[in-house]
Amino acid sequence: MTVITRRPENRLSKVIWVPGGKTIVQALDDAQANLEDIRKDSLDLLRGKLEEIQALGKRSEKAPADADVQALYALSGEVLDIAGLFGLPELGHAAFSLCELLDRLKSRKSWNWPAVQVHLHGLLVLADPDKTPPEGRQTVVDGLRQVCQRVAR
Amino acid sequence: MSDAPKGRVNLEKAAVLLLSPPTGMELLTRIFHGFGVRHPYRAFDAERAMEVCKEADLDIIICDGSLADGAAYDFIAALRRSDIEPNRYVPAMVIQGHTPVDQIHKARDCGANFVVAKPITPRLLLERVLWIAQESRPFIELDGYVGPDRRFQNLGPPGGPGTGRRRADRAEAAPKAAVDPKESLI
Repeated sequence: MTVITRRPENRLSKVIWVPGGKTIVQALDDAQANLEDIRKDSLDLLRGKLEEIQALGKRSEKAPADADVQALYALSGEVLDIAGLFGLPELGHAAFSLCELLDRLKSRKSWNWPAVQVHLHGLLVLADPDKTPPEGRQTVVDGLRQVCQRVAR
Repeated sequence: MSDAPKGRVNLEKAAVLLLSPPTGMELLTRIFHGFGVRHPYRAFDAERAMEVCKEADLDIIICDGSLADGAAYDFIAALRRSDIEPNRYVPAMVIQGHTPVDQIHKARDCGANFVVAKPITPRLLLERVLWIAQESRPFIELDGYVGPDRRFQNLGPPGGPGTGRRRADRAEAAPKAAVDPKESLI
């Protein structure tokens, strides 16, 4: 087996430390401010995705079509994209747990409606964080992870 | 604020390629504009991303791993194995949501410099960009892998840094123990 080792120039390091630019604090503040400009639209989009998930979930009680499961997976991934950036990290973790659950079920060619259903309920609870204290939200996330792990056994 | 990040960052002239589906692209573009990147190249699919790689000399590539069928991983692997100089060596970061079990090997072996797990924050992304800017890992070409050397964690002698019997083991481990990109921005 031939191994070729090279030491290419790190082009990023050539530009990033050039005098000028902005302080790291300013860069982070500017990035956050740019996100704040689209907070409302993003949260509206997030709510729409969650409604789609619930609607899709309701018709998935018994042996759903592969396309529906795939759509549920994709929607959960989109919730994960948005949630963490707008102060809903637990919702993002719950969406990740649903992705993991759906992927495990797909690879086993099986379906577990109670496990999916509890994730749908979890997403509803975590979508409105003001109604649940932080420790309660974490308990929900931990519970969903346990459900997911149990399905893997 | 004791843990306030120090220093400056200049990405005004950085050539940054963002590869992401539309939902993530809007968020990534806004974050990188905030970091000072003026005109990032934007690609919504791997085909367009490869075209950009042929047209411009890039400084960093940011890929969203949620592109369908692991397209982001395939793109990085194809770029690493291409003859597109100097971009085949360009640092590449993958932002990864959930990775389906049938794509885990693909994600591991694609040749990315760094994989960042969602949910992301601007701080997390900038930390990783700064980390990549500082790294000097060699680039490895093997039959089954092309990309930065994955053996980059210097864990010291068996048992962890500073636990070897020789005095040199302990001395060598001491200055390296403090390097942890998760601790703070540079």
